[in-house]
Amino acid sequence: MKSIMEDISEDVKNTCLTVSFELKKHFRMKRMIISFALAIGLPLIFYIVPRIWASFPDTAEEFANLNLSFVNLLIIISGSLFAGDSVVGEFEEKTGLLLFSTPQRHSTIFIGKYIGALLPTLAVVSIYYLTTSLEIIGIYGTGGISIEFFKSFFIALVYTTSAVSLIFFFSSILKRKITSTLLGFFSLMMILPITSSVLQFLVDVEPWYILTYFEGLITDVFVGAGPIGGGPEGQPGQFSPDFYTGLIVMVLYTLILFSVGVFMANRRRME
Amino acid sequence: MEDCVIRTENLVKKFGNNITAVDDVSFEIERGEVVGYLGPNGAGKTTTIKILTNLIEPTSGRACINGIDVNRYPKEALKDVGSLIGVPGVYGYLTPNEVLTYFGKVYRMSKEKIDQRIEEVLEMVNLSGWRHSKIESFSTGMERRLAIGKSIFHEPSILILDEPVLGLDPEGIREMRELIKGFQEKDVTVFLSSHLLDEVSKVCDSVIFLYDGKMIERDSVERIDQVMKQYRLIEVEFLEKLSESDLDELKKIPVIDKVEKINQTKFRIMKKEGDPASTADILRRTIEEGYDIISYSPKKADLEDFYVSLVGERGGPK
Amino acid sequence: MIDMRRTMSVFVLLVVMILLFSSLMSNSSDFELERTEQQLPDVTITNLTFSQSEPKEGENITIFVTLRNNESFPITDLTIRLVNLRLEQNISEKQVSIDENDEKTIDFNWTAQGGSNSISALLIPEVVDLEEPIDSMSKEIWVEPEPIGDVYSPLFALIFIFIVIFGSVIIPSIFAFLTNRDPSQEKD
Repeated sequence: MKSIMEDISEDVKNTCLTVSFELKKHFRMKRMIISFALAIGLPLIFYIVPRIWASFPDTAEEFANLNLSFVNLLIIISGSLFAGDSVVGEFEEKTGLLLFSTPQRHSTIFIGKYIGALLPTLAVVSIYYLTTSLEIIGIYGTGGISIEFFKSFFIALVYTTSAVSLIFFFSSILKRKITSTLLGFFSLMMILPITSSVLQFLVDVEPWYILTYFEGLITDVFVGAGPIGGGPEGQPGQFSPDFYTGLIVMVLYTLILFSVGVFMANRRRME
Repeated sequence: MEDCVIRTENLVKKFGNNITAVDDVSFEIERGEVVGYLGPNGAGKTTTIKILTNLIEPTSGRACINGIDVNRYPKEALKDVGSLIGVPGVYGYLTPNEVLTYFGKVYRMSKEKIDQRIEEVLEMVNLSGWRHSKIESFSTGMERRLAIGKSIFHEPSILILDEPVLGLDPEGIREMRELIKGFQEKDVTVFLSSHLLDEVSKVCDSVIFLYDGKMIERDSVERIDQVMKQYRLIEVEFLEKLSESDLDELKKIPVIDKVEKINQTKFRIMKKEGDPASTADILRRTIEEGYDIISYSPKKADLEDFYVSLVGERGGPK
Repeated sequence: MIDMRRTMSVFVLLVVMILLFSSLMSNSSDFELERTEQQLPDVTITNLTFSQSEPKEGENITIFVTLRNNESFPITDLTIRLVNLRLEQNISEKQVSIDENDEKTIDFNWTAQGGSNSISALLIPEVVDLEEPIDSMSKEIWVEPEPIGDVYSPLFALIFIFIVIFGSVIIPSIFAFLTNRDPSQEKD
């Protein structure tokens, strides 16, 4: 009889194999190159343009606040690229006929695919922050890297896990790669933010259960609490996302959507 | 070591409320056998194979490999199984080397063994020079051969193949046949589905006939051959359509055992093998009865004819 | 002759009466105008300062508003209202009296709100209902916002997520072990 440790060891190995296979696929499909180029190029714009045509903000925090306001866009683009077709692609392309008839639990394959989408997205965000930190050091010195910078970094990583989980979930339930990729992209880019705004400014309800309500925390840590943004007529925002509530909501989104995504993917069959 | 390596027990698979793709199918396949799984399109062959390879779950019943339920314990059941199902996609942006390396690791082959087997397998399937080329540049036949290579890569003792010659040219079909014969000699158990009865008859030890989800017959190819040798088949094409009464009159001609309709003017006449003069006799009597014949082709009955006689003219086993 | 004289007299009398009436009317409105002007006291806000120049969010700071009474009489019915223009919020209001030709400083307590604030002092007399205050003065003050959150919570959240995800790999094995599922024992 095989021991539980042998069983676990096999599952872990199979998951790691799937992760490395996924990373290889992402590399070959040039997704990594595109994402890493964005992660380096976007922050460079905020360095080169002021250097040549204008001047840098007075403080490192202002610079970081401006530079990192686009990291959310990068998270959405990278997450859609890496996770958009992670499950649905195997069914649509029928590569699952090769993959799912191997001696592996299907759940280990899908968990491996999730990790294989999450890791490169986290790496892209990390490169973005690394580039920004190097710019800050170059302009303001090492003292420009404040504790808020690290807060922003870790919040961005947590937000990344929830964004990837959402897109992975779509990939596990939809039938076509293009649909799941686009739905994931537009959900985070437009659908959820619009819903959040409608709830705040028209219905006067704090949308604490909508993931994108907390995306601003990534840069809020630099300017502090207080009503953020403004309404459609320029009135100040009534609600401000709470840091700890945001963290809990992001973690819940990650774990629930990941679990449901793996469960739904497991139930799918190559019919 | 268990002799029965593949077994299905009252296997049923339903899709939705109306479609029963596999209807109470039970069979056993012993070690070293090469068994053909035959039936027309939509008979349930691929569905059975997908259940045997854990791609889908049965509605009821079970499928076992080496005595282990495939759907409950896929890790244990499938570790010595190589499979080729349908027309699988291949990872176009990767190379054969990368794909086979991945699957080799899944089957826990060592690095050296993987390297060695990649060379051997690509040689076997005529893809030697394409080891490091992206698969997206392959033709359909090349992709098929790569999929076949993947199925035998880890040297399994059980092969489950669904329409293995699909997409192959005549040379490829011949090579596939030789490959399967080679496996036979190595005591590999092969379970393959096909609708190319002629190919199956050349490689299989026995055949299972499936029709409309039900298993209708199982027999060895040798015995079927012996049975069919007793019959002679004559394909006759008439100038005009035959009415039902014409057909009944034709059936009354002595020495004719059976008349099966191919189409309105073409019929297959079965008669017991015997004096060759009886073949000429049928021709003479048919003309005497007033039938205008434009083609008269006697031939030996084969596996296809056996299947057709099982299934009947249009549907329903006889 | 007598009629002409009489008519002329009446005419002159009428003209005199009209002129007299007109002068009486102009004299009375001038009087009211004087009265209106006299009701707006000549009081100005001369200064607005803060007890701290770089406060932090949540700190209590004092806002000093200095008034000057330029009149020759004391004024008793004045209201000073302090407003935060950024948030469109009233901070506080105080009733003050100030002696003739005197200067007075009034202090207000304020809990600093994070970010850029524009604090405005408005001088409002009670007697006359005016839309605009008599005088006002505004000053900007930057309040250092309170840092939100901490660095360890998101880090621990991240670690927790990774533990759950990687841990989910081993859950099927543990489940199989706990339910005593052994394929070799279930072989026929």
